[in-house]
Amino acid sequence: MQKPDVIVVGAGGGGAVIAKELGELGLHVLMLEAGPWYGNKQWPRPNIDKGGFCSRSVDDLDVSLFKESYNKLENNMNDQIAGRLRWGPANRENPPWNRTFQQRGFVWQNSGVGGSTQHYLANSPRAIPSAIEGQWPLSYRELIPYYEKVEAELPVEFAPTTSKEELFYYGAKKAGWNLLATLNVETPGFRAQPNAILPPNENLLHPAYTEEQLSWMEGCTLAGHCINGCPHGPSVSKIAKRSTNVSYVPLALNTGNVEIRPNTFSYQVITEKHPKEGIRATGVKVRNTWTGEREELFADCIIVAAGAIETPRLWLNSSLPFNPWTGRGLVNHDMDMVTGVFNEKELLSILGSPAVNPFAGHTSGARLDYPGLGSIQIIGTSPGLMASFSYALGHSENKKFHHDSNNNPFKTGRVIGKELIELMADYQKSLSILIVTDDEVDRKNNVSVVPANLDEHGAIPSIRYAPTRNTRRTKRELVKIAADILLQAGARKVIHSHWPDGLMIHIMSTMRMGYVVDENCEALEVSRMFIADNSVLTNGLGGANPTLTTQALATRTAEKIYEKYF
Amino acid sequence: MVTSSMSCKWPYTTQMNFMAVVDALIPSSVIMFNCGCTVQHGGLSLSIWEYLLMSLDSLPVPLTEETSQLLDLSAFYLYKKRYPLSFFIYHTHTSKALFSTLSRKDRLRAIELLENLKVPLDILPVPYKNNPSLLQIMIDSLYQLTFFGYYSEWYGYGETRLNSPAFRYLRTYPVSWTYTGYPGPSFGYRDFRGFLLKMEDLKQE
Repeated sequence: MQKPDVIVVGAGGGGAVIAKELGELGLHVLMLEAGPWYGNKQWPRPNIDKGGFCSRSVDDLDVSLFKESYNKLENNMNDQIAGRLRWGPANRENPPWNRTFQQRGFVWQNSGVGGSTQHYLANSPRAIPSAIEGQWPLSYRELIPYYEKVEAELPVEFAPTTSKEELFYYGAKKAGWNLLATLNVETPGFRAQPNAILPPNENLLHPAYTEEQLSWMEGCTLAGHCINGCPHGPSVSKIAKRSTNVSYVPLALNTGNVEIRPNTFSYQVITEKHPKEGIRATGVKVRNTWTGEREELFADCIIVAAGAIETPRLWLNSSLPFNPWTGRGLVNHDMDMVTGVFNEKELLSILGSPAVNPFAGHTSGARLDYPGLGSIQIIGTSPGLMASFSYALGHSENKKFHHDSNNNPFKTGRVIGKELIELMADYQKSLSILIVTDDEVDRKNNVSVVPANLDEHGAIPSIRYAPTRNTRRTKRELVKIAADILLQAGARKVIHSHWPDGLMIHIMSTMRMGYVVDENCEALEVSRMFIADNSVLTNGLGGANPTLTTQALATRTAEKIYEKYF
Repeated sequence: MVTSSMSCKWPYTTQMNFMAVVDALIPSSVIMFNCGCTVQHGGLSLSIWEYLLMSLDSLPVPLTEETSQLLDLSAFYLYKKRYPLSFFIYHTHTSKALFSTLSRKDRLRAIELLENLKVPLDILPVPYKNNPSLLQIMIDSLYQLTFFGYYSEWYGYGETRLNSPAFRYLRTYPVSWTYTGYPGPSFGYRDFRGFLLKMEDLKQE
């Protein structure tokens, strides 16, 4: 490839979108990705051999290889230390990449083409309008055409109803909440999740087709493996869950202008002083994660989409100009989990079946939004993930269930021993709700680097997060709402996990628009350097999942880059 | 129960401590039904202690030995508290696997002492020394990894369990799936109950 017009660092939720948009505009794009590429003929054994060097053709995509890698077994896929979907190099014999934490918690991210959208639940709500208006340099109205474009491209559809959604809707209605038939949420209420998942296979209920046959056809089969990595579909570009490796990446390759290099970790941005443009980005330094070879790559514009932890790290490790907000203002939706356990009898009367079966359907197919507080979302995972997220992650609180559990069915904190065994024996009759708090931006919450703490790519990120008093209060309100819905639906026990605040799943706002980047996502202090990931979000979007907004912004940024520099 | 024979890479005392952890968190239990009872094998029988050891050894900085020492130190403080007058001095070598000598209840107490930072942080082994967040993250990880290992398919990898992750193959039915009723990976479910909302109904928005 000739010198590319732009380099994109990171092929995840944002990078793949901007690469495709720029490719369509006719620019030559080189996209660099630190992790592996699953489902590409150039890397037939992506975790074992270094394989090829780059791929630029949609013909390289191979759905059989894809299905071989995405084998739906949760330990193999989701183990955060050595799983296929982890933050680490392709070679799973090597440890994951390190971070340090100043509080309890961890960061749940994936490396690899598709980034963390490989394990995301494809929840694609728009931001809460009131969280944008007056707080962002852009208005909500300006975002709408970009939302519409991404929603059509992915595409986004409301989740179908399965048992767990039906139970949630039943509880929410009984608790007095209204149905929200909208994408632009102004008032509290419940609705189906707008998900980037293809509608259910038209023949799903047709007995002539086996489930296996259905899994090779177009459309969601309600197999419930969103979080383990969805492998169902007739080709890579028609996989049901629209992670960017199956949605935007094939579209990008189709333009003929995009080259993607996995196993390539970008560790420094190269800049120069220009008489007119001031300090401007001209390239990146990269390291091959298999061979250790280092290289310098140059382009007219550099787009960083490495995620809200690695993007500020890259800035700080590149000695770019000081900005008081670099890495600061981190929000993570201060998440938590509330789980309800039901009796067969109640379930039979509500669902017509004695089980919720949390493993079936979209992993998260229903939500309740409450502007000003955040949102709550049902979640049904495979049992290992459920045991560890619902029952292991809390604080040890030493409080047992009340003896008469009919009168006091509520418990907070970790569960172990016999209690755990009993709760997990009721796995099929359990429904979990994720708490997604609209947390306040606080400059003290940040990603920084300590020069003494190094790995092969430079100083490692150090993460600090403590929720504000308002955030804590808001989270408590949401926990109450979730518990009430479960109880209204007939839960006989409700377990509030009480997660540590530093649990990072939605990681946002570390390179905030209006503070570190302008409204076109170009760095204020470094021209020709753009950012296209969750780090540019000015705040936590009112508790909406961040991916769709990041993708809408990436679509808009592509236009602005083209207008300004090409 | 089939147990792996590949665990000799860790000192026996370290293995004992990790066995003691998983046995405290998920003990083998007798489960009563209307028509009888059955035994549910705990974390120890399903070799989850090996999963813990393997996982901690795969971190950027391996932490099996240091974590085992942590547990021993906490056990030492528990003994000290209980027998304040006894002549009992902590030594990293002679106190090895001290944690595993505690009762299940006391093992949980010892883990809780660590979680609540009730042991002097300046005498902990590096890198836990004066690093309360790392200490608490490790305690959280002991719970999280034990639960995840136990209820996931890991036991089913049989003799390939401790292989490098790209070389593990399901050899047997993961017994914990029967404890939860999880049917395992699926091609699809026909539990389609219609739509609450459709995008096309919102087009006039």
